[in-house]
Amino acid sequence: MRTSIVGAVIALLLTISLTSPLVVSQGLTPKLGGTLVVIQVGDPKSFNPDAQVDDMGFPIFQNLFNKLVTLDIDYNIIPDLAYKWDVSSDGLTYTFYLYKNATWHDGVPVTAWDVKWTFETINKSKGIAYSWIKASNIKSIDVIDNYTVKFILKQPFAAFLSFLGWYGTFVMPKHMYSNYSDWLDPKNPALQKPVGSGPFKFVEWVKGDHVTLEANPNYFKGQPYLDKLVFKIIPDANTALSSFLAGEGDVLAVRPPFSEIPKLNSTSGVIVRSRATPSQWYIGFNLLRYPFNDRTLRLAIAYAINRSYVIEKAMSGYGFPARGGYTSAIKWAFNSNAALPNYNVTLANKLLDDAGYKLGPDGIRQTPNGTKLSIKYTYFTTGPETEAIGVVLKEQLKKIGIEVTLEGLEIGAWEQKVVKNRDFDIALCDGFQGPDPDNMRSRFALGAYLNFANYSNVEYYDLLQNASVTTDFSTRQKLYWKAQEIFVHDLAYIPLVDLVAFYIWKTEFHGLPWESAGKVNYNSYALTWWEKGKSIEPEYIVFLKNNALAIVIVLVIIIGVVVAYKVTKKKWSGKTTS
Amino acid sequence: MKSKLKSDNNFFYKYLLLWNRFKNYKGGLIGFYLFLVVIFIALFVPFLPLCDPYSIKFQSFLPPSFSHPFGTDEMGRDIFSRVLWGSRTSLSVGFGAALVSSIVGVLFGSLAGYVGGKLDELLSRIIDIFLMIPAFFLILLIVAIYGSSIYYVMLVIGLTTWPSTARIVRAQILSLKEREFIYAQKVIGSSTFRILFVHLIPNSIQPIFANSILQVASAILLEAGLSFLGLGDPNVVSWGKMIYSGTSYIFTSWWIAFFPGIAIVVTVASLNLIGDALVTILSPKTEERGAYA
Amino acid sequence: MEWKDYLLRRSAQLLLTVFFALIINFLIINLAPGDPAALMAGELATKEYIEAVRERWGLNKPIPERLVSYLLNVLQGNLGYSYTYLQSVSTLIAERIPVTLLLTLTSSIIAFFVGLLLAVKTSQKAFSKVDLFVSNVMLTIYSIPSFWLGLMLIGIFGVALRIFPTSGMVNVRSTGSGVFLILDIAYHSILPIVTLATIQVPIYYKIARNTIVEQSSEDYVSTFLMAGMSTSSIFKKYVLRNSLLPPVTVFALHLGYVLSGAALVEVVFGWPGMGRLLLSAVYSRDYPLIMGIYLVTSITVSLANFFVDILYTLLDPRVRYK
Repeated sequence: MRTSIVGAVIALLLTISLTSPLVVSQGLTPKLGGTLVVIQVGDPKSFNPDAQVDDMGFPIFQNLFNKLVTLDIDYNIIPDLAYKWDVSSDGLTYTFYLYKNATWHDGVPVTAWDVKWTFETINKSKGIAYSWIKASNIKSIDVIDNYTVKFILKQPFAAFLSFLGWYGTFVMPKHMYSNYSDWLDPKNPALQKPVGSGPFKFVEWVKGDHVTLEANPNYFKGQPYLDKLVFKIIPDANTALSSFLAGEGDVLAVRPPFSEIPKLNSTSGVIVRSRATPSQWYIGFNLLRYPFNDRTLRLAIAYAINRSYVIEKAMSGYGFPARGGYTSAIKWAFNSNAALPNYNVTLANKLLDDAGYKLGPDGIRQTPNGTKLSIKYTYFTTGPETEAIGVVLKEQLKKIGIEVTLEGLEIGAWEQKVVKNRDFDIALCDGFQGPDPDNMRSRFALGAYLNFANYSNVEYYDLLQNASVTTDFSTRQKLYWKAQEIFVHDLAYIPLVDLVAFYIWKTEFHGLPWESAGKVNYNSYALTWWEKGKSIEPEYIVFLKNNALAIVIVLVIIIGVVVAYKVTKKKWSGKTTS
Repeated sequence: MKSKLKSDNNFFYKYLLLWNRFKNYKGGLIGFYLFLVVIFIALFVPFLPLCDPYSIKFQSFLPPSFSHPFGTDEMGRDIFSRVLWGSRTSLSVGFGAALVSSIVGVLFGSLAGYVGGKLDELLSRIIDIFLMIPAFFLILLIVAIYGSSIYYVMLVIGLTTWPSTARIVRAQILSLKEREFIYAQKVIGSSTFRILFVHLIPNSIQPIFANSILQVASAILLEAGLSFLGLGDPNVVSWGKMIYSGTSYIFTSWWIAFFPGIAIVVTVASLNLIGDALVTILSPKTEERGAYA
Repeated sequence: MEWKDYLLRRSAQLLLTVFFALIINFLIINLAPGDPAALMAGELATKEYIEAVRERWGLNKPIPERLVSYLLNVLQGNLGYSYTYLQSVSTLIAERIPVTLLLTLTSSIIAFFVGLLLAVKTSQKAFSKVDLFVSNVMLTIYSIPSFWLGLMLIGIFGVALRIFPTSGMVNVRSTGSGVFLILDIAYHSILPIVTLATIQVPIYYKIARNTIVEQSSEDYVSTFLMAGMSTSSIFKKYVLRNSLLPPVTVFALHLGYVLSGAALVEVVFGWPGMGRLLLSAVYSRDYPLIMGIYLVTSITVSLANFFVDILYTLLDPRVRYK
């Protein structure tokens, strides 16, 4: 009798301890509260999100403001301030339907007038998005009613929506800015203490140290789970990493040196994920300078570069060798058949021999008209990879008899020398090539400011121009694919590496933007929650829910014990000693 | 003809005396021998059995071992050979900068001191202005914007550090020009050029000598600082640059930043020890009245 | 009368020097390659957009005109607006000054006292084994690059031993206020201050020691010795007092560099001070900001020199007004 009770108790304890973890202990139900600290590398310039290029401010703006539509982690267009939109069949009219309950952080409602004011000001004051949304192509912005706005374009522009969702297109509060003739007027308090419509609102900015935001309880899509969102500013990647490892941050938004990635991966409590991102490292030749106008030379160089080795040495293996004439991260636009030359040193040497680049006694070739093939590789010194890539290229080109000297300039000087003055031999550049392949037009085509190679293939240019105004998806795709074929044939630019983006965060946080495809923009923490927060329901209910299975089993055992007791009692009471 | 011989004798004799006194300064002596080692390395490094300092063929991040005494860096280069080859860069920049600084300093200082008057006023003002400008910031600005080739760095450091040399030369010339042997030269009609370059300047060299050695040391530190900010010449091996690359890996591969730093300390310290001993010897007041160690 | 003349002349000199330094800086910076308009416009900008940016900031006016308007502004106390931060330059600098001062002033004071004490302890027996040993050790310490020392300290104490934080001024997560904030900043400032102080100790040690040795070889010392005074009381009453002026002078001169001296350490430890502000300003060609920082540092250095000169004429009667 006693033993069975003891046995029952033991069984009970065992059951509770064994089954509780079966029901996922922390649960996939979001908890409330907590502060998320994001470590980044610099201050925002100001809180006007549309006036100037501000890569440090951008992730903060993505949580303070809304755009009409926005891009998620896969660069798909998702609704933001507009829950629905229509595009006319001629591609000239875009109608956006706005949420009716959106308000600014000071309580004023967000209306179509704010949208109209924002985009007209982008046009008038040349906001950064001016170029890529083609603000001058907008004939008019009409307010149909407080929550419906129509954009009428002069010419169709297929990438319009993508660029509207990208950068510098945040809807700004007209009532905060309309009293100032200049939207960057330093006297406007909104530049230092922004008023937005997003899931988080502004608390304070301590320059050089941090920006603090707190949850907006009236956010039109629902209050965020977190209490506070802090962007901690740490000047360089190494210090940022040590800060993160020391527990001073929860999300590391600075890419650490590649060699530290495995270490981060194996640190308990930290997760590291990587995704292909539509950015590439590429080199460009100065086509206006002899001998770089000789395609054979460029082709030989392309054959001599082992892109995998470059990635292995210069980027610790984190990256993908570029395969074609556009980034492979935007799948529909990438033409996998337009391939770059594969690594083949023998072929490279043969090409040069046949083309009259004689090998000199010091192992360096000479051009057909006698000058030594000693070329300068110009890069900007924003990080160690740029020089590292150069060091690897130097060694590889040595094998085909080309001598390379490295010239590192800081970004301003590089921009002046290479882009403005076109005074270089080979230059390394990088850049985001999304969100739409129309980006190619601003980088590589005739007349583009960034086309430092002076690539002037007219057919390439025409294809890109046509694709920019065509609204039919498959036609666009075919045009871009053909353009890439030309691109990899001409080799004015040789893409080297398809970049990989890293997401590094603490496991105790869930619902991060890169886990929420289709729901939030790629920097938004609106859906992020902390494991150790308070549950939304009262504690005892959560306890019941979490341990439901165990409780059921315990109850069953108790009932079983009681019944067994009663039954045996009867039996026993019917017996004397045995 | 006769006077030339006398000067030679004077010179040689002077330096022998100097060496005799120098020998008594343990610190200076240690510095001197250390520096000899550094110079030896810098001169003969192409003949030493080392790996190619530019070759990236080894595996990256290898810790110090028998085959790689200082390990390998992030690109797979042997650090030991790079530290040894880096001595050439540092010493070239150091001596180059000190040379530029000395030449410009001697020129301006002697002109100011000898000619005196308005020219002296003007040059002293210019010296003051140069001393007001935080040199490091200025060098940073110029190198960041205009270019980071090693010759450029040498030139820029030299052109921003000449004022201290100029001041010393000026003071020296001021005190010397009232001396008898200068009056004698004037009396016999020697040209200003001759007085300056044959008599005044050679006799002012000694204090500059000590100062120049200290300037070599500080030029090396300056170049290291510039390289640490990423502004160094990428075509040469530089200790500062190595520390710069090694900063990222301080947690795991500490040897990348550690050994170049030691190399800098050894080289700069040896120069400072020598320079300090010389300064002590050559300024009468601080010299001992009895006890050596 | 003579003294007042001297003061006047010296002040005029001060102003003239600063003025010229300013002009030289303006020219160097503005003639440099690198277009702030293009940098501000970002990638994917069209030429048209860059021109608009240039016009907005008045960068399309000729250099002499810009120089004149800048100088006029400075005289009115207006240092202009930063291109990148969109705030008045004076505000930005004012925010960063206390940060840098915390590091440089504290480390200078600590280094001053440590150096002085060390010198007093060891140089009474000039050229003894101890004295020479310490002297040489000081020289070696002086040869250590500040950034490398900082890095090694981070490696040892911040990473391996985890005693101190590795970077930043405060721990953002628990930003307290009042006493807690002060304690937090103090905690974060230990490693950078130790780094800076260590490098500076040899300077103060050297000047103090040299002066002490110099004084000890003066005639009055041997006179007192012959009169029967003990070496320690000679030292305490006369030599020490006479030896204080040069180190104090050096300290005052160093105050001039108090705003610029910590740049490398600020970078290593991630402190938001003047040095880092200048670096980022240079990289983004933020002309007004660069000019503002140079102006402020030039003024502090000039002022420090000025005060030292004046101080010397007041304290040391042997110095004549030239």
